[in-house]
Amino acid sequence: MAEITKLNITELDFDTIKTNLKDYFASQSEFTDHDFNGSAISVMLDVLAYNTHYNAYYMNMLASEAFLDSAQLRNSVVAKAGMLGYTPRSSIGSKANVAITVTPNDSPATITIDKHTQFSSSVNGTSYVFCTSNSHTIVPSGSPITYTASGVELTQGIPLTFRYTANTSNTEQKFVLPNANTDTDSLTVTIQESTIDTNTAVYTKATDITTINSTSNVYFLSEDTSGQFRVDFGDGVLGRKPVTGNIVLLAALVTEGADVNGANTFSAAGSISGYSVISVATSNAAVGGTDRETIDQIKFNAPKNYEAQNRAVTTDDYKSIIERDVSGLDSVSVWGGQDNDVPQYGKVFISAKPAGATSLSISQIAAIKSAVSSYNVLAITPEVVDPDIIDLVLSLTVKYDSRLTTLSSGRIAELVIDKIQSHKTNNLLKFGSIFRYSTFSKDIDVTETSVINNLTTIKAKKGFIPSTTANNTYTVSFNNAIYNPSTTYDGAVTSTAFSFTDAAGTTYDTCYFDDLNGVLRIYYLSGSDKIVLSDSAGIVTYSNGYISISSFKPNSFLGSTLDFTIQPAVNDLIPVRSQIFEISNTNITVTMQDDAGTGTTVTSTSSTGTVSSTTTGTSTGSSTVY
Amino acid sequence: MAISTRTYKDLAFSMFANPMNGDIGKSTGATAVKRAIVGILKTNFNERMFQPEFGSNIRALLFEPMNPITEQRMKTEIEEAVKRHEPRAQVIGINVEGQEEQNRYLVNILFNVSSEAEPQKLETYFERL
Repeated sequence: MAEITKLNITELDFDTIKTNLKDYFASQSEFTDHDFNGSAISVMLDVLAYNTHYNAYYMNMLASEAFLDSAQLRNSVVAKAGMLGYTPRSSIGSKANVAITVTPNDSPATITIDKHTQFSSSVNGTSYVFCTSNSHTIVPSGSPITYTASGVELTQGIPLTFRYTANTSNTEQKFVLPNANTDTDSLTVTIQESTIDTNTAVYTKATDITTINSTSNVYFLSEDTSGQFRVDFGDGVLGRKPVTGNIVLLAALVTEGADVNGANTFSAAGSISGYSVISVATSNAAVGGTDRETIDQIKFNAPKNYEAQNRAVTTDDYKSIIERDVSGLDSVSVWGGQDNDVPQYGKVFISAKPAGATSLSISQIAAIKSAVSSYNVLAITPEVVDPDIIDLVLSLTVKYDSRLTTLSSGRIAELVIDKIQSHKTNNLLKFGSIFRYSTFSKDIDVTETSVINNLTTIKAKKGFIPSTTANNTYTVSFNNAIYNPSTTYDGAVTSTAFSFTDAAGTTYDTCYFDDLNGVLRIYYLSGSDKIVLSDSAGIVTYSNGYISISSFKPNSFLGSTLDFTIQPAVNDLIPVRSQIFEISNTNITVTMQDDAGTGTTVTSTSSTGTVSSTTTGTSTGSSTVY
Repeated sequence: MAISTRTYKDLAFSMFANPMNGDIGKSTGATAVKRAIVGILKTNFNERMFQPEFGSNIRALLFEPMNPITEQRMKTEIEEAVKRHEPRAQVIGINVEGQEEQNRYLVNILFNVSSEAEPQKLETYFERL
């Protein structure tokens, strides 16, 4: 047999490696019993193949962990991200804004609310600790005199302080925050000279080494291989180096992350300056709590952070800086003013969706502006705008086979609603997330084994707040084409009710908008007849979903906003710039139809997320409205 | 090369060094086949890595009552194991004899090896420890 001149070295598994070795032995005559499993040479080949397989697997995993894209272990990913200058984000405590009123039993000149004064709140039956982020001094005001501190920020978390004594002769010494859920935004690092000398110096986080010298009181933050955050100090050249005997104090909050978003009722956990009659009024419910960055998030964010190179020139630069420096945001969208609906040159627009909320708080807007201010190109003005929420109104007919399940139709309807909410969480709620009809429909079909198929109609709803005192012009942009099959079709645009006074001075309490051939009209219903009050209330541009209302002043309107609902031309909806699609339970109607051949139809409607039902008899079965 | 026309050459299980040249010892021809059969019979299932079905189940039978039934089961087990793993040997006959006083079985296997003219006889013991 011809000698093998090429050795296959690409295989990793035992069997193929052993086959290669056998092929090698087959090409020479020294040992001919290599292919008999009972032979001694076969035992030797087993050992060799096993050893090769073991090493190949080890090397494969080693190589895999050596690159950011393929690494699977958190400490490998964090180490690679560290080489790009990226520190993973820690858990962040949810923040609420409150006004605290203390009622003293005497008349103090001031009352001080210390930093980390504790309050409690509960979410879904679980109690959580909140702390004041800063100290506040209340001075009496008003008549009768009250002691109220407004705009007090509460951050969720339990304050803990870790104390280390520096020992420079111990080269293994690490200053670690031992709890994996530590909120590093709340971290304060203080060094006390010694147990005898109680002078302290507060150290700040180093962000730019070009501004650091040998006496800078700075610390460096990184994630340790154990997943805990670690504080490192300078080496005497880049930052001050602690000396033996220094006492290092690391104080931070240990948080519960995103679980606490939405907390809106707070009560004091103890007294304030000795006074225990305390009331707390919530200005903004708790938002912005996030869990620590996951492996996938680190892999995604680290290269982007590196690309930005600490300057904000492209939209991705802005996005990367904001995602890195501002906590509590689910998604960030940035676009240049030139790409705006009405171009605004010299501006960059930033929109962000806070975790657990749909609009940004004042402090979050300030944080975003502050984050980009030092990287921003001169003469470019950043503008922060709230997310533009478009509600999707879903009407589903879900066909199921009652023979394949023990669940009631109402229970399946509940599962369908849960599935819709999970689809929203997984596929929407981020900027640029397209609503894809077929993906949605497929998700509904796998809700439960008895579900056969679904017929879903989609509408989009968006509100605006019109002035009731002045005639104003408004534009509502859906940025998705509106259904308009013919010039006589008038059902594509509808609105919620409002009170309106026509040109003759007559007031009609329940009016609506509709459209006909690109013109917005105002009408009221007389029985089932539409009586048009204005046939030139505005313009509807079907091709891009723009509704422009000219000189409009309602007397009042139903609800907190006046809502337009459109029927889109196509079922896939694409958001632009700051738009995000939202699906709330109040906008879901589920009709359950038993397709088991019994002819029974059950209708289920969700109104508040909990399913209730009414049943009406029909000639073929029963109809239940949930 | 076809099995029947090959010259069988294997490492010696004893791993002795050849006194003439220092090379590792070899066993050849029928001896190599006999060693391989012993290796198969004395390897238990799941003993060889990545080959859980290699070997035989004789060890499990050693602790059964020493009687003609067990001897017959061992005989069947040996026949199947050789047939399964040693294509060079065509078994002619197997004799299993329980030696109660020595606490062991004496196994004689008579088989043909295609490279040899005469039938080969393998005698080995399975001790009950």
